[in-house]
Amino acid sequence: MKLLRPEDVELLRALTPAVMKGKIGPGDTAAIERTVQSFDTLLVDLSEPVVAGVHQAFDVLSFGLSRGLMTGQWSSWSKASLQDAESALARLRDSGIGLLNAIYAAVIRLIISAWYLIPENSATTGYPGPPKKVASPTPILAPTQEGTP
Amino acid sequence: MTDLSQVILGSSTDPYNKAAQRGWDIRDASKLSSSLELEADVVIVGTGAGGGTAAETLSQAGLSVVLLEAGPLKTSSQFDMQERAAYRDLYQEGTGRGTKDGGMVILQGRSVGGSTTVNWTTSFRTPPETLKFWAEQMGVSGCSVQEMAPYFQRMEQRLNIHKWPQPPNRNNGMLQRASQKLGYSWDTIHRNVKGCLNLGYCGLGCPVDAKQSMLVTTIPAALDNKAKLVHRARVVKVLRDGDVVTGVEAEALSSDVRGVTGQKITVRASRTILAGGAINSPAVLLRSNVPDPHGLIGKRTFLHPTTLTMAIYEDPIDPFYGAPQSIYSDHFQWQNVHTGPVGFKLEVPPLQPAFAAGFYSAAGEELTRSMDQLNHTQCMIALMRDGFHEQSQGGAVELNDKGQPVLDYPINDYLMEGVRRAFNVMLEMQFASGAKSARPAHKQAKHYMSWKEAKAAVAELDVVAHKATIGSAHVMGGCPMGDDPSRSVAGADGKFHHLDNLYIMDGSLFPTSIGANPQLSIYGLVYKLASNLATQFQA
Repeated sequence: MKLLRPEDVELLRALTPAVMKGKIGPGDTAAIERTVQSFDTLLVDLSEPVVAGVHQAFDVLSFGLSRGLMTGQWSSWSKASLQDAESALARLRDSGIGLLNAIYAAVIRLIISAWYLIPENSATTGYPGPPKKVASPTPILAPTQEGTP
Repeated sequence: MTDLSQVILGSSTDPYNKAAQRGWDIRDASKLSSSLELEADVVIVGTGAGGGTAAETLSQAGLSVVLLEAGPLKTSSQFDMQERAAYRDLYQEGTGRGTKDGGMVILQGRSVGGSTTVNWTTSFRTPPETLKFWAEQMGVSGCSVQEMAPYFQRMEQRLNIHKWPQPPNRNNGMLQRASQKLGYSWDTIHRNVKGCLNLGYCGLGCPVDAKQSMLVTTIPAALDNKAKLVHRARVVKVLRDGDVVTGVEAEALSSDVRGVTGQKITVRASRTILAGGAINSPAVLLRSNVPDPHGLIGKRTFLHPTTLTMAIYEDPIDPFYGAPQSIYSDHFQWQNVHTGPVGFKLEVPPLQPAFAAGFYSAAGEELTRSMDQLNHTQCMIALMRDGFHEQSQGGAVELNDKGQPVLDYPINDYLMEGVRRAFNVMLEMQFASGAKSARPAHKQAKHYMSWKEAKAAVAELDVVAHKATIGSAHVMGGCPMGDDPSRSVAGADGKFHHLDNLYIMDGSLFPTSIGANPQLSIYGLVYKLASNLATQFQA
């Protein structure tokens, strides 16, 4: 990982199946790892101030007392079930404290973006993908008829 | 359904493929192995709507011009319509830019061409209500509808701005249908395109150079006129000799524009023009410690705070394809100009998957089941016209401990009332146009099955920052123009009030938000200011 720290990875492994429920099952380690990897790439593509903010948010969610108080997750994230993760996210979302709502908004947006930025995942939305771009000396617009070029 | 993934595009339109033949002087600062010193009549900081327009105008007048751009030079040969690369390469902070408390996401361009490289081509002249407000309330002279008309006309011709002649895509078509059903005013949008293939990828960089952005119009023209372009060069500060600005100092950025290489670029010029856009232009002034006797630099920065609703229809919508914006409604925009509740403009955004998912404001099965039907999804946005009412003073650009700009823009009750009202207006419109279900961009909301259910639910929602999703693609203000130096940062000629030879020529001059997508407002105003500056040189 380039920017995710070990404790961030642990947190994301727990939260990803809850945020992406319906797409990733809790035991689907390969899909979880791909999403966490994509999250790390996404962070590299953001900016230094954004990454600093994400690390701060993850600190609140990762460490002992604040983790327990803010999310209800008193044991480490590696021990969290899908239900634990869903309940933690709901607490952040529904809290009356703006900072926790902000953390929720940022965390879900980043996990969701990380998942849908993987092209084969974006295809699950009914999106066939963009036109194909080819290097060509002349401008082409070749709408293929029923799959024939 | 039209499946554009089966379409094949050639990439021969890229004007930068012939840069060497045309004798263009383009330098990538990330590749500098020593410091670079340049001299010119004019140095322009930024290559977006303001910088591009100024560069063409001044270089045509025979002046030597150096253009500095913090972002990279990315051109249509590289635009592959994939979301990840586009957000990484073409947007400020990789689309991660936000307000200080995270309450608003800010989509702003950052590559050669600035936001014009990634905007959705929507082109409005500055509304007459806005120009009148500036003249009557903000002390701006010379910008009446009549005085501005020739400049808008000229830029409309230059950028082939015309009413979109093709039928709207279904995403926009639903805004039209809903407006007709409910008796709301609507119209077709003017777009700056030439030979547009109606693909829908304006926001990811036009792959065929149909969009008449600065990247393919004014900047190539300036380069033909011997202007020099240095990209991946971030301006740190303006240089001064007493009360006279003598140029700028910039730092070379690494090839991913996320770090610095240690090399410096110095440009000495008899005139310095800031055109980095709102947020970045005030930041240069703040880093330069220029005189600011009334503490106005960076204040009154406006965003058109924008919220959205998503709706799912029985029939396909395919919101990721087709001209992104072609229909708008100002039905709720101008009831009051500066009294009463905030007005908003209604439009639709293009919905490529990661963008749509990121703004959906849902998680878990509420999100994934909805996103499975993205091809049947319509989205409406309401852009709130901030900066007119006394309770709407905008945000303030500050510098963090590393000198990077941060926009502090808390969302107050005045704007939140607009968000709730916009939710209701847009949800009613979506149900009126046949939506099966619709959902406001609020983390505690869900898809509602009828207008009645939606209305009752919205009344109960806690419409506060972070829970309600609010974003912005229009950054304006922060260096307001005006005749009175106690209320403005620059004159109506763009000249900085407190130092000589320093000009501002971008959207940061606007004393309020525009109340419409701002690109043509910037083109017209900057064409006027740059033409006048060119005349001064000749005198």
